[in-house]
Amino acid sequence: MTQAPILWVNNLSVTILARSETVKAVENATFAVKPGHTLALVGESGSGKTMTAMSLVGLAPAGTQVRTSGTAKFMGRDLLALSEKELRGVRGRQIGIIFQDPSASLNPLMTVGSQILEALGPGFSRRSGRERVEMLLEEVGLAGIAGIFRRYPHELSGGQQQRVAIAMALAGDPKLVIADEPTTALDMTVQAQILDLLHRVGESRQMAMLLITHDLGIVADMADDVLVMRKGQPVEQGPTAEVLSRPQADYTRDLLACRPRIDLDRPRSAEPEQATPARQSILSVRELTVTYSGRGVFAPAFTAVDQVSFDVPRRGTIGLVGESGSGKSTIAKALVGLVRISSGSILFDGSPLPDPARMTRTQRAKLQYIFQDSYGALNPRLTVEQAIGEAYAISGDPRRDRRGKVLALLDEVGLSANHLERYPSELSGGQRQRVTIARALALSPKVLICDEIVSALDVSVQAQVLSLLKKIQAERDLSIIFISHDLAVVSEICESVIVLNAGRIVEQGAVDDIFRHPSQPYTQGLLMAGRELEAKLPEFTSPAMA
Amino acid sequence: MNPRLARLLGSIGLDLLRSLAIAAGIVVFTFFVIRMIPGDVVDLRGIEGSLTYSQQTAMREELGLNKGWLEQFWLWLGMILSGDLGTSARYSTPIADLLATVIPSTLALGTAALSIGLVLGIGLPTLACLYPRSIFVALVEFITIWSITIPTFSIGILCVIVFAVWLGWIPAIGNFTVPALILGLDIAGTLAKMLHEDMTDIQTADFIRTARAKGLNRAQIVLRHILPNALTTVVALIGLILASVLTGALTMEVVFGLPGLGTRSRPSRGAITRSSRQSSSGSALRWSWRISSRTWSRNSLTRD
Repeated sequence: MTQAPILWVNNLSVTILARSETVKAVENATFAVKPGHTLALVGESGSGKTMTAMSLVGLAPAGTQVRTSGTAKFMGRDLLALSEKELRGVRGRQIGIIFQDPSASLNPLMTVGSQILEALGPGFSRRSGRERVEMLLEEVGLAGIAGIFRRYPHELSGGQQQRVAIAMALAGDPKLVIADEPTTALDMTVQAQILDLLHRVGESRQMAMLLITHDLGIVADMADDVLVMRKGQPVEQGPTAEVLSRPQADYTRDLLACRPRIDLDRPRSAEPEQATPARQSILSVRELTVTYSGRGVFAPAFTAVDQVSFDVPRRGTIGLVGESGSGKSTIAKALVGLVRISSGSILFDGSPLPDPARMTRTQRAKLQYIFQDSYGALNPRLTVEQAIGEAYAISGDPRRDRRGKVLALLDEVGLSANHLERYPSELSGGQRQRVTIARALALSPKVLICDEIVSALDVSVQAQVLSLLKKIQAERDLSIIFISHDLAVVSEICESVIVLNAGRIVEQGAVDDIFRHPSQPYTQGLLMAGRELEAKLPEFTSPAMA
Repeated sequence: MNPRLARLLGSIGLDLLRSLAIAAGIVVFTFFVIRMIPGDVVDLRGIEGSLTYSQQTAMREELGLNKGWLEQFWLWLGMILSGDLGTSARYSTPIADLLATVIPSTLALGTAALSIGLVLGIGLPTLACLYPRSIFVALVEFITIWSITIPTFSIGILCVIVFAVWLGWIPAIGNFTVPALILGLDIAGTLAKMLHEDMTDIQTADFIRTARAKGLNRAQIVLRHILPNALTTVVALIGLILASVLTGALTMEVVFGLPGLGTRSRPSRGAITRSSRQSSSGSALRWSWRISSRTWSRNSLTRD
């Protein structure tokens, strides 16, 4: 049976009209979505996948003017030819949209119930509207939460917020849902639940879905068809199973190849045990406890890290894993004095660190921190040279040979003199993260704390940054504390791992042992969630890798 | 009552207590500072030449100025707490009565100005956001620049000259509408600027895109999503504005010859008159009001 597609996009091109120039964001995209089917748009950042989907419903990012050409037939009408007013009738009614970051895409001052109620559109009485919202909450699995109707978004977890967003998208009984990276901002285990929910509602409502993602595991799990995009141009398209198992385009192969996987048979880059004579630990943490006092006078105190002890081996890499809220970042921040320690002690190189908040400048230089959000971690008004040079300026280094030192660092992280005068906004995400790494290295630290430093990066860039980190570690004899929620990345770079849940250590040991034979159910759950999607990917080996 | 509400009420109560404590601190502080300034109300009368030395001594005794500072303070505190603000040396009537006659008119002027300011200051930027290519955007700019560049007292005097003296449209003394408008515009400018900027910012927020994705129209988006989120800043500003409304009303009373706190408590004869009890407690109370309302608004800014 051949079904007529519900959405048929032909030769779609999108041009962004900036003040000084025009940028071609999408060129000649052609695809179709059948009722009840899911089409995935896949690509790395800047590939135009979001632009493609959003231009269909007139939701270009705020402040940008776009011009579209081509046709997009949806239920007999050309979406691209509709006026804003006509599109308004399509959005929410016939096409529902789910966005990436649920915490930002819900109005913080409106209750969950009234936000969904609003999405129902006109024609509902107070009573019938309320009943409809209750049904939607039931459908997305939120009915069990007491008083959910009157709660505010900040009172919900990320996964629950995304369920609310899904309920909102479903409110108008749409025939098509556009889901823009719906699980990227969520934890692994939550991601699986949300994908499951999307799958279920798609099936039961016979709804078509346009899924935008960078994750091939999600594509394999969810999509019937896939369109791979790169730099605004469609690279390859076809049924998911076919494209993923027999990719025709080089780019698709690269994407498949550099996807990090929990691979325990890979030879570890770390040096064998006997190579280090005295492999005593450089950093020992003993019964570290951090409590945050509650906000306001009467709010109870909250224990973020509870009696955590571990050792960081010299020249070793230790991974801290856990879901959000497990306390992994808090531990790292406590080590460098960004949060106050409530009790416990930290030994650095055999001698106890005083309260880290009172560390001397030289002590601080030994422990350097690299943050997840490279854009937020760099002052937008400082050039690369100034940003890196600042580390020297603070340490009182003479100004004379500073440029030479900055250049040497840039060289070490794979950037060049061309980048000296650039501002953070003129760099790509991967380049920015290289700059923050260079800045952290400026003071020759002994320990590098990497807090989710690759999770905001595309997979291909992720691989590059990880190999850079390995190279630097070998050259500089660094010890690394690597924080990540992504077990695949941890398995690639770490030798030992600490699994955290709710501020406590669940399990710790060598990566091989823990990932092969997790003894705790929590670790098993994490590993399952990580492997579930991977298992759906057809076996594929890149000719280049083989 | 759920625990969230209890916590909220608790912290509001705590803020109120803190403001009260600050106000009390200011009153106590001014009491002693004024005692440190050489000269008192009796000296002033002496300079004016209306009292002999023996009369001065008798008056000091009567007013209790011959006692020690601490003793005076306890007496004074007892009076304040029992609601007795003393008797005005100039008008020879109880200060409480004086205040009771002038405060309502000052409050009326302040309230009128505040209403005009809120209506214009919230209404204009909302309209400017609803119709981004309309005259309203220019109007927001206009009242912003107006309130920044034009001091209320100079435009007040100008209005008296133009409308009362030249044109004869309003009485030179005792007009209420014009000062209320002037003050209102002043408040509206500050508010409109803040709100306009905030609303423009919020338009690019993710949840506005979500609202558009729901198919809401412009009015629904502006009124339900943009405005409430922008108003959080205004709420924090209200504390500051309350203080400036009150002081602004005092200035306007002087300029337009309205009866009120401004015309009654303003000392007119040089610094030494400030040591008279009547004006000192008046301005101390006023200052403590200003400062504690400022702390209040700062606290509400930082809380969330």
